[in-house]
Amino acid sequence: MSGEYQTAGCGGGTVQDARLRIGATLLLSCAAFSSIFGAVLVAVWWAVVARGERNLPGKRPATVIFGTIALVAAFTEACGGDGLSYGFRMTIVTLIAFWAFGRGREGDLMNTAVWAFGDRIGFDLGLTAEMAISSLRRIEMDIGDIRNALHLKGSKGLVRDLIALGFTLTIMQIYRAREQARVLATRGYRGGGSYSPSFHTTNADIAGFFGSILIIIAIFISFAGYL
Amino acid sequence: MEDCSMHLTAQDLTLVRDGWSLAADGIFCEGVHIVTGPVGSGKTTLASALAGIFAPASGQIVRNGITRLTLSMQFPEYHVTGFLVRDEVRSWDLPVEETLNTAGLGGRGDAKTLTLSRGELKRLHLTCLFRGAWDAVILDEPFAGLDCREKHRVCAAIEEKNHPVTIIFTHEQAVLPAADFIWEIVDHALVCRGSVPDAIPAWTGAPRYLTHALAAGACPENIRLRDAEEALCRMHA
Repeated sequence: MSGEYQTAGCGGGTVQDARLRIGATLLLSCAAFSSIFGAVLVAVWWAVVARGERNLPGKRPATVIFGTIALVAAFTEACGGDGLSYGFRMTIVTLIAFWAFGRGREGDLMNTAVWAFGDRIGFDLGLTAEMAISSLRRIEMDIGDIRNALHLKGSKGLVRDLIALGFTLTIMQIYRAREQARVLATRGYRGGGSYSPSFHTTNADIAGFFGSILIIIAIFISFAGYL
Repeated sequence: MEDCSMHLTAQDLTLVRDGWSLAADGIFCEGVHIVTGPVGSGKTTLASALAGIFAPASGQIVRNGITRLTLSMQFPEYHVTGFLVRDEVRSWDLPVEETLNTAGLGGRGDAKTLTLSRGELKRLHLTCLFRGAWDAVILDEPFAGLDCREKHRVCAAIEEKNHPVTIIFTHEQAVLPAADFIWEIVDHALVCRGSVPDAIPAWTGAPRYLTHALAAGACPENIRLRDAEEALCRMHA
């Protein structure tokens, strides 16, 4: 297998370098989940660095996602746990996830995996990750189409519609995965391959990543002070 | 276009998707309408808009006398709600055996719906859809995934005109049903070529058998292959 990826047009935006974005996502997620202090710092980072690219979901998905977090937080609080803290930290982690997922471009994970782990394991990891991401995007479109089809056919009730949507999506994904596997086998894929990763790094990328490192350092210092 | 009591109107419609746009303005009155255009020209988007599942950026869709409207999507999997084939037929409120026999799937009622081939699933879906009591049926690429025999069967079902308004979005070039009106998507706009047969010479996306017949000086009465053949025979006779 061989491939070459040219980074797409880089007009505007922050953290376009996939390595820095993935690194920043990991650091920020850990920082946000570690403590309220960390979550506040990450929230500030999100407000400053991710502005204009927050990729927030629509009303309905946002209600489901943040509603689930709120429900778990309320349950935890009611059971004597620190639900409010959990709710706030998870909300910030989720906001970072939206930013990271929406900002990604095709080939980012392949570039990063091959750059980090080489042509054998890196290639396999990158390929798997790229296929997973493209499946997620495809599922997103499928859900829209299936919902429209159900609407046209006439709803049979929320539960029955959800069951129909779930099994159709699952089976379609299994078929697609099988077809993808056949294509890879036909093209001679046995594991690993050659690939030339390429990245476009801007000053904003470095500043954003550097900010996430500062946040992690601040959290370590705060923990050290606490201990 | 002639007056008709039941119609679907695209009123100063602008459809926008990912920086691409399509303008549509016209009346789809009773009869069979063929809408053609190259892949990526916006047929599916326009079909979705007419079906009311894609919101236009501007303009509106007006349904006059049409209360029951449906859209057949290009990929039949999206319509599946029954785990078994018989459940799928029941989900359309249709008799199982009779419908399966019509679809050429007799005895397959206990098969899992999504294990049917794409062509079989399309056959089943179109059979169920055509048996419904719709005022308007919008078909997005109804011939995709079908073999020649099935395409002819679909054409025959369309020609029965069980539904007052039928709008077919297709880039099929070999097997087409008799149509009443021809539309084309040209340069990001829906253009009405008029009623058949007068519209045929102006149809830039016409199948080759029609352009061949026209070039030979024949005047096909409709858009099917046999119309072109008959026109050529008449001319030579």
